[in-house]
Amino acid sequence: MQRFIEVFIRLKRKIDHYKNYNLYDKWDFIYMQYNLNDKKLRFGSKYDKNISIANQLDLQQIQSDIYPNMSSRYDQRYFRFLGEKDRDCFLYDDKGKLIHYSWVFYDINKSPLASTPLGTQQFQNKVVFWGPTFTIPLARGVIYPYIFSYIVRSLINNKKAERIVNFVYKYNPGAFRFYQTLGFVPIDNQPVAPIFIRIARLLDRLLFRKTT
Amino acid sequence: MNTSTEERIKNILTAILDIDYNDIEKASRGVTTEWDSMAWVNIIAALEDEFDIELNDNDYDLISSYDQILELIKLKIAS
Repeated sequence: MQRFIEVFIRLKRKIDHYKNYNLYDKWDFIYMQYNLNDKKLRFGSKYDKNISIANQLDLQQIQSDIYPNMSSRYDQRYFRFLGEKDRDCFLYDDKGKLIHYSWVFYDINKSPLASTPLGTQQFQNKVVFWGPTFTIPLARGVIYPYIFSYIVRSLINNKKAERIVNFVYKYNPGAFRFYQTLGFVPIDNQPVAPIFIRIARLLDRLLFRKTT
Repeated sequence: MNTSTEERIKNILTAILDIDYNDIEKASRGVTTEWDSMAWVNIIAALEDEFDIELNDNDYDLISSYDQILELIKLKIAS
């Protein structure tokens, strides 16, 4: 009986996650881009020595330093592809401990953008996707914009991209302002939820949600 | 009525960190959970807009507590 309850709870959690992502989250993204050709970086290179690109040998340390701090295991799936040529994982090392990672996808068709309503069709070559990223909670405070600065300089030096694309959740205005300050601007023609999604959301709110 | 520099800084910190106005003087980077990298960058941008100043990489380190920000802004306004 207990096993049955556990399986039921796990299944319900998966269905809820699927429903929340498809009905709400993915229609609430704001897509932004950063043009590498005409931006002046606000943040310098003083933390460059702490930043490196991960390879397979780093996986064990990533698992021991970073995984225990992640509230969800969802993004851990990207590490199965560590070391592949179409993506890089930038790591930040603080006194021998890894405290941050940032993925950069050089093939946006294999990036998280591919499964969003925006899709990748409108993007040509030389567009990369930045994300997902993660900093362990106790280390949050400074490094993020410097890692971005490192990634931008690395992309410019390697001539790997002309634009960086990412997306933020529209109910997180702090994140939106942050990316704007770094130099990101919202792209034109943001996707809008189709009518049947809006009706489904309305019904879901009326029938199952007490708030929102 | 003119708002003092102190109040303007406190208003910025309150809005961005979303913490109580009375707790602002105790808040600092590395201690206050809400003061993460994103909040830090947003504070820098808000201070530049509010006081019409330009901050650089050397100034950024000082954006770490109310007292340090106040000292920095007073210096910037005076120069």
